[in-house]
Amino acid sequence: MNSFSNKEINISELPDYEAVKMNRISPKQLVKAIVQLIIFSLILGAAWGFLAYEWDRVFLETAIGIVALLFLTILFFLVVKKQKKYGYAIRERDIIYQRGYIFEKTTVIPFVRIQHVSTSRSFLEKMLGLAKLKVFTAGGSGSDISIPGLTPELAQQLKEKIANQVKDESY
Amino acid sequence: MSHTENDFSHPQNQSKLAIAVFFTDVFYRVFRGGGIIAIIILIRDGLDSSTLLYVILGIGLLAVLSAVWGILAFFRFKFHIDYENREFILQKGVLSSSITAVPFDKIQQVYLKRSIIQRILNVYRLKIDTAGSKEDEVDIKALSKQEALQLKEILMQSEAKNSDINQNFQGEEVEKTQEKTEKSTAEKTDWQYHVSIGTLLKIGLTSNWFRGIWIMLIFFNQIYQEIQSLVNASVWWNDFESFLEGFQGIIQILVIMAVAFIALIFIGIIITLAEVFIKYYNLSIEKKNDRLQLEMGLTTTTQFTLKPRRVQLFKISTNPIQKRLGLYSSDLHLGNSQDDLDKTKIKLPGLENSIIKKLKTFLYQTEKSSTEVFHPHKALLIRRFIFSLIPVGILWASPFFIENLDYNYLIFGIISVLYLLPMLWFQRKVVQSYSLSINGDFIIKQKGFWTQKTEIIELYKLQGISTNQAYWFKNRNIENVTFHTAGGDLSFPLVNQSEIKSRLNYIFYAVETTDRAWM
Repeated sequence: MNSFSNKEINISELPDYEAVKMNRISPKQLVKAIVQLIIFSLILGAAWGFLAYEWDRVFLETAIGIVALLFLTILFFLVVKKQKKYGYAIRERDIIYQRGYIFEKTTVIPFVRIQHVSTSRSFLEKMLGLAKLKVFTAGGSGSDISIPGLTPELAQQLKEKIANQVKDESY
Repeated sequence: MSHTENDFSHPQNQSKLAIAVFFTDVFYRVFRGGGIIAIIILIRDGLDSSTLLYVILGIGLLAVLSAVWGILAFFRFKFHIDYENREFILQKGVLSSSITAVPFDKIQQVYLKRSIIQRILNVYRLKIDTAGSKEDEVDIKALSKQEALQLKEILMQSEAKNSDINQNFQGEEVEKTQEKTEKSTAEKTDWQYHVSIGTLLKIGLTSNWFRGIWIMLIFFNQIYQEIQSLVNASVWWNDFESFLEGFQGIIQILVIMAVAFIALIFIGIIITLAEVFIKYYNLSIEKKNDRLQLEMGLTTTTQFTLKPRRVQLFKISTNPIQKRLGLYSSDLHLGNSQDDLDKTKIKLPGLENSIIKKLKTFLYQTEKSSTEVFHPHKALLIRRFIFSLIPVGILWASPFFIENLDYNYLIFGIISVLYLLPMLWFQRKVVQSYSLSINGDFIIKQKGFWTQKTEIIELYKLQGISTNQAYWFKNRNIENVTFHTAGGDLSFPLVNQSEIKSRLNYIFYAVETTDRAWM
């Protein structure tokens, strides 16, 4: 109790979460996203080919084909644009995660509210040497985050770092 | 407390009446499931003596088996309190056997429930909600009133002590006095409120009847499909069509439609009323010390005991008519690690404004002044208005899709203007009603022109914050903000980014430096 102090807080001098410099993720995440998109395009192409084979309405088939192509082009454009938007930062007391091109979303989770942290790797991520970092809160899916495009070592490091911070913060 | 003190320190069974509860439960299920199968078999094969015999034999066998099972289950079901390890222990299982230990500090909620059967037998069902997974939930089907209340009191008290230790309040001294006061003032009631039948009627009449109509439509659709599979429904439809053909004039058709519409609303009201009565019959709120005691329900009576720190998100809603009648409705969203949000939402309708105020002071001791209020950017009006253009778009696009009909574009124009002008006014009012107030302790969102909603979060109960900015709002510097809590999210649209930024920074500071436990 002798170290008690109660200084006035100057709100404008509090650390600004928007001023934090974001760490970018591995460019291999883009490779992963493009591979996924190509697989999706192939499935879509096969479906269209089947349709064209079965149907005899050339005009409709061409129209559907053009729309699908346009759709895939937009998806491709978004995947490339999105890559540059991924970012994360760890401050002393919270973690910041940013993503999204059309809708840019920033989530901040204080360490005192983190329930647990984990890393995960899908098949494609294993092939490319990538890993995901997942942070869970009691707020449910809305405030849980999953940071893609990390190297497995980095994901592990971050996980341990956050887990330690969580332990220090909560008593 | 009463004369025969049971401290539950030795393993014990529930009340013998649990067997009766179990039987009626199984009988009901057999009747519901097996009965239908039996009827189908009887209809299909006709009532000859051999099928009847099989059906009776089958039901009899099922009854005997479930009786044996029920009695075994009853004797294997034992519970007690381990005071040394501070745990509630439950043993059960007929063929398998399981032992569940619930540490006191994981207990979130203890409730007493009574269905009709339990009320007839005069026993209580006791449920313990825990912070962990569904498996370690405890559900005791039958306890005498005295035992149920005692057990609940013991569990709640140990929970209270735990929370004080967790919350790091001022240590031992407080704890001792608390113990003393808890014994002496255990029965002291600070205030209570009871929702009368008249109020329930008012709630039903001023609620949204469309919900009732919707429930009815779903219900009838199910019945209709069942009937259709049995009888050839087209016969009915033909009858109905020829009935309609009898009315040639437009006025007659309009009259029929009006009658149908009124009938629909009437049924909607009835169903809404029934729903309100079943859910909230005898709703009573009682404040005792630091707890709130809630009781409600017609067929199933539920009792909750609630502590302020459990409430993560508090919502109040009303509309101008209900306001005049003194009917405010409040939702208490409780924290739970499970995704099942419905289970942890307690709705209390039909409260007077004074009770809402009392609830607020119960939940939140402080009420700070220096509040900063945010309003949404006017782009929200444009966005909402664009959404309300959709029906007009469909109207004007319809000639392209449905041919061979005469379209009168003048009428289209008149309908569009008649719809859009009031809509524009309405949406303007809705957008004006949005406000987000942030102060040192709370985040308060208000919105709604007809149905007015207020949502309150205590700062230290926040789990995280997300901001969301669409590409085209970047230049205008506006974004959506979502506050995450363990009881659900609170979102606010299109606020000025640089204005709210300093407040968000303050909230992070407040959450990250508080030593209060959020749950």
